[in-house]
Amino acid sequence: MKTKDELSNTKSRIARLKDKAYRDAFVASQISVGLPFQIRSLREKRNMKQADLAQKTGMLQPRISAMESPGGAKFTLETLRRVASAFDVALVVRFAPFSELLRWSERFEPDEFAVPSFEDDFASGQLESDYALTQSEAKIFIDSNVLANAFVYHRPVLSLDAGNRQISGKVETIGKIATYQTKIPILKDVVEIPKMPPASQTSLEARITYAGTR
Amino acid sequence: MRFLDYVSPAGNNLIAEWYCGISVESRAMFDALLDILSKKKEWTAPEFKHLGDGLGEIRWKCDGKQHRVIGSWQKEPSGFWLLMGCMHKQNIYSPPDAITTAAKRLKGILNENKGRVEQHEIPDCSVKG
Repeated sequence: MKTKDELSNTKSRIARLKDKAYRDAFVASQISVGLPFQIRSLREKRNMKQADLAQKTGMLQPRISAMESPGGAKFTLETLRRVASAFDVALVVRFAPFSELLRWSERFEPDEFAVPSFEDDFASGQLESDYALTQSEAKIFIDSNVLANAFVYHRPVLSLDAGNRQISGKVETIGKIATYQTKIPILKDVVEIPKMPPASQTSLEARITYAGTR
Repeated sequence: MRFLDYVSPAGNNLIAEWYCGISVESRAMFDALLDILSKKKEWTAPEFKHLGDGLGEIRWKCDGKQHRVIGSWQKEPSGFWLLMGCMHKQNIYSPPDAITTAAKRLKGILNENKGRVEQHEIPDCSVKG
């Protein structure tokens, strides 16, 4: 829940964003001010000194110091890639609507900001659990050109009605949920899915993994 | 943590006036910095420096210039009072008496009933006058 002051701040920020020059400056400020706090937070969470990060990135310590100062450094994608590699975290660079950037800036907590390294991410099971099938639900993956994009970019969540030999479900995408229903022949109770089908496949063939009880 | 702007005895919000006098890039950076500082438990270098006598400065760099806003934590009204916006180059403030001015403004409010503070909001610099 936002405080009255925070709401007022958001309101005036939105009003300022109507000005193109401020909008552009707002984007730039999220890089020149936001990134230094992210880098410092990631470094401190790993108990690293600036010299340690310098060594890992192949940069000089004063450069790290500048990168941790608001407006102290100009970031290139190559610099960010090296920093991400040093922390062993992913780097997401993409275009986004202003509403998303505003939300990010408001939710960013400099003291809490932490991104697990690949090793920690893997050890926590997070990487695999996001894509693993649970025991309590049935999931069906269908090779079809209609759903191909969903397979490639998003995680489909389907349910199986074995009695009616129907599947229904939803594909969660960013911003919307697509639902669909179709009848398919159920050949086996459990079919291993070796890997995701290529997007170009057009056959409507069900690959079923059914781990629930009927 | 909330921020409050210094308002002169004549009723002018001098922080808003200073803000509208700097570049739009510097303004956006200042706004972003306040967003982040408002959530930080502890303010440290390089974006903050204690100046002594209850004063401290928020620091950032933009357009090749070192920007500073001198202020003070106060309890009534509670928050960080933004007292004076200025620049800094080779250990010299611009204007040179920036710290003295900030101290005078603080003293004026606390001891002499001169000036006041009001809730900081991102000023609308398109409004003239």
